Amino acid sequence: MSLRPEAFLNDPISRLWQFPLGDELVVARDDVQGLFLLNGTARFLWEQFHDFDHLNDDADLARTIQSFAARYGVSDCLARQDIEATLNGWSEGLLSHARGNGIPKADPSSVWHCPARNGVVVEINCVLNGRGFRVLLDPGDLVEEIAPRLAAVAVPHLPPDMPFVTFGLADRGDRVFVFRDRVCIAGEESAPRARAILLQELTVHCGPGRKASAILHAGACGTASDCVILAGATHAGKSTLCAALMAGGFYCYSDDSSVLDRQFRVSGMPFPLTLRKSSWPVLESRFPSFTDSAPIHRRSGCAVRFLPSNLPAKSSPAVTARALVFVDYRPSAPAKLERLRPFEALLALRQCGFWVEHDRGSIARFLDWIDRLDSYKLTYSLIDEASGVVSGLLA
Amino acid sequence: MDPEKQNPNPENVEAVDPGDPVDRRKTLIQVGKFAAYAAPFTVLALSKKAEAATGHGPGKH
Repeated sequence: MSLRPEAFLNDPISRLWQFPLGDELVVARDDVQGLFLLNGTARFLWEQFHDFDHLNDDADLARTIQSFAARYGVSDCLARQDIEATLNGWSEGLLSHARGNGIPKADPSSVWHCPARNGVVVEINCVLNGRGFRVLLDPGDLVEEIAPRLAAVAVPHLPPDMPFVTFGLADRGDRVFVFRDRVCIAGEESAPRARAILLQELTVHCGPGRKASAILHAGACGTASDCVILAGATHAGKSTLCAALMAGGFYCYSDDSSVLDRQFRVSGMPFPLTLRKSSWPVLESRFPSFTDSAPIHRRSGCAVRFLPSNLPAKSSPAVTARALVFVDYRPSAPAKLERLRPFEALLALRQCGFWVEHDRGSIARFLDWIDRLDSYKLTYSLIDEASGVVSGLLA
Repeated sequence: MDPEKQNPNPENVEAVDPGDPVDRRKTLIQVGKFAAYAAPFTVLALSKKAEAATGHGPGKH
């Protein structure tokens, strides 16, 4: 067989970082923005190849196949088939000699395209947690996308003695660029993605360290000191559940992006919740004025209304996460809470979307946090039942 | 499911000689634990800020 991990390991084109997690393993390459998740059987193979000083001939491979077959009680034929498939997969991904994984990086040379205050721009000044921000937007879709989100934290003028950070968002047709103090920090394919980056950056720059450890595609609700992170893919029911919990007296720290600070606390994001038409009926009784007075917007082809956050813009503290819950709305399903192992939580996060600072120490801290945090999958159809389950986790 | 993957084959356990009794016990336990054999898999979980807000899973529209 020509596909051998040691061929990569003897001639590495990037550094590999390994993180055992329970029975499984997480491996990262320094040049690929992501985490390779190896289940227990893949980890066994990985360690076989790493434990062997020499795996240079077919006899070594035969021993590995035999060892694998014995360990898992499968035939040598199946073991060979699965090992070969694994090595082939590694050669194309984890151990590929191609650098990077195609995630475009922001081009700092785009500094000259940053919207300027003296140009044709819409300016929104904001104060969050006592910090000033000036947001400059190209007119058009970006304003429609972003202005309603900043309404609660906008001020007519920044106080003269308040230092501030300037963000610029420029629509260049095929991409929307995000600038922080005239340096390009992201180039996104759509206005909603650029809006997401902006709100995350505003939140990060409110914190004392001005750095995030990780960002999850998740809402978060809780008390003044603790919260439950509610993760899920788009349409999983995050925002609806957040709204229901808010109506039940909990704070909503976020409905879409949970920004984790250096201590892995969830930062408060006092921006309005985005609620699609399908969730309006269940929220009518909880927010009587919502369906009467909240204007309707169009987002990605959907009718949405914005529900103001109940976090104060002046002081939205970061809070400790008690649990990470992956919400899954299923019509007619009874509420069911299932515990997830840390590895299963990572697999679920892969589906939802997440970001973690890509260096060895940051990934290690993130995985340690995941390992210590209670994680669950919550399947539900009735919002009251789901709210009850989350309330129970916060009790 | 492939019946071959469900049923551990004791003969294979006997075929290996882990040497150390602790390792041998571990091997036997592992065979029992993995009675429902999970084929090895490796998946890449992308890490991207915009994905952390818009998602890239099956629910994405």
